[in-house]
Amino acid sequence: MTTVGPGPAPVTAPVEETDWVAALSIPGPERERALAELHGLLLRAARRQVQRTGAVTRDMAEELANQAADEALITLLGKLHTFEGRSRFTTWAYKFAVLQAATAVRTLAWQDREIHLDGLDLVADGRPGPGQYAEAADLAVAVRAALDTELSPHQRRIVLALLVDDVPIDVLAERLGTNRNALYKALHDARKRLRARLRATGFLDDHLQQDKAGRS
Amino acid sequence: MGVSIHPTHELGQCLCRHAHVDVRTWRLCWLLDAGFERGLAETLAGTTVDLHALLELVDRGCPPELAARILSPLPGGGR
Repeated sequence: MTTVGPGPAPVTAPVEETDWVAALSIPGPERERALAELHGLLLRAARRQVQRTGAVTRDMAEELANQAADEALITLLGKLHTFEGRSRFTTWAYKFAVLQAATAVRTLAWQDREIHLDGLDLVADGRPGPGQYAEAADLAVAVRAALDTELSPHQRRIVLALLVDDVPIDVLAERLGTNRNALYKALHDARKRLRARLRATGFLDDHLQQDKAGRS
Repeated sequence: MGVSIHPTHELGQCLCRHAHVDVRTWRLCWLLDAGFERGLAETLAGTTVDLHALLELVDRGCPPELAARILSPLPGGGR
């Protein structure tokens, strides 16, 4: 005779990796369970991040971690649709808590400090003087001349549309029946010509060009 | 191949630069600005021809009519 016992106690299985987005998206008990589990995960991550800084008392650390976990959960749910599955969901979620906790600690550390702006007096008075107006006018003339003389008619139209009229590159590409890469290439070539011209006429420093080239 | 900075033909004038227009009119405007003859410009404006590639050819000295023929879709639907 086989005795049928009560069997193992039901265990709440952790939300499977592939189920997180679905579990969090569909209202119901499954979502509540997923939210609770996710909040626990975020809280652990936030605690660890706050403790790593070692800049606050134990009570304050717990409060900050809780706040960070709450904020991280709200932010994450708002961006749930952007999860592409490139990493594990928990890894992706972990970053929200770490970022939120780090921000909370930084904010706390700075909230009672005064920021002295005495050293910025010169910057604060940023109004250009007559000399700067004259230089800007010269530069504008030089840029205009470079646009007229260095670019082909089509290049000029592309530059004016993208850089002056602020037409989005996607829109321009669609209207022209081309693709963004082709326009990026045209823009790159045009800027190269303009920079060369401005450098040759003394409006652009060589060392600035070298710095830019070194960074790119 | 270098790009000529001088138009090889007289540029046209488009009056809808700052107005909200449909895509076809916008393409027509762009082609007229580039100096295309109106008939050819109207034909091309209503197609899916890549105007960027077309005008790059023209910039390089290719006559507009020839550039249009080069970039027109093939009869079988290919390009």
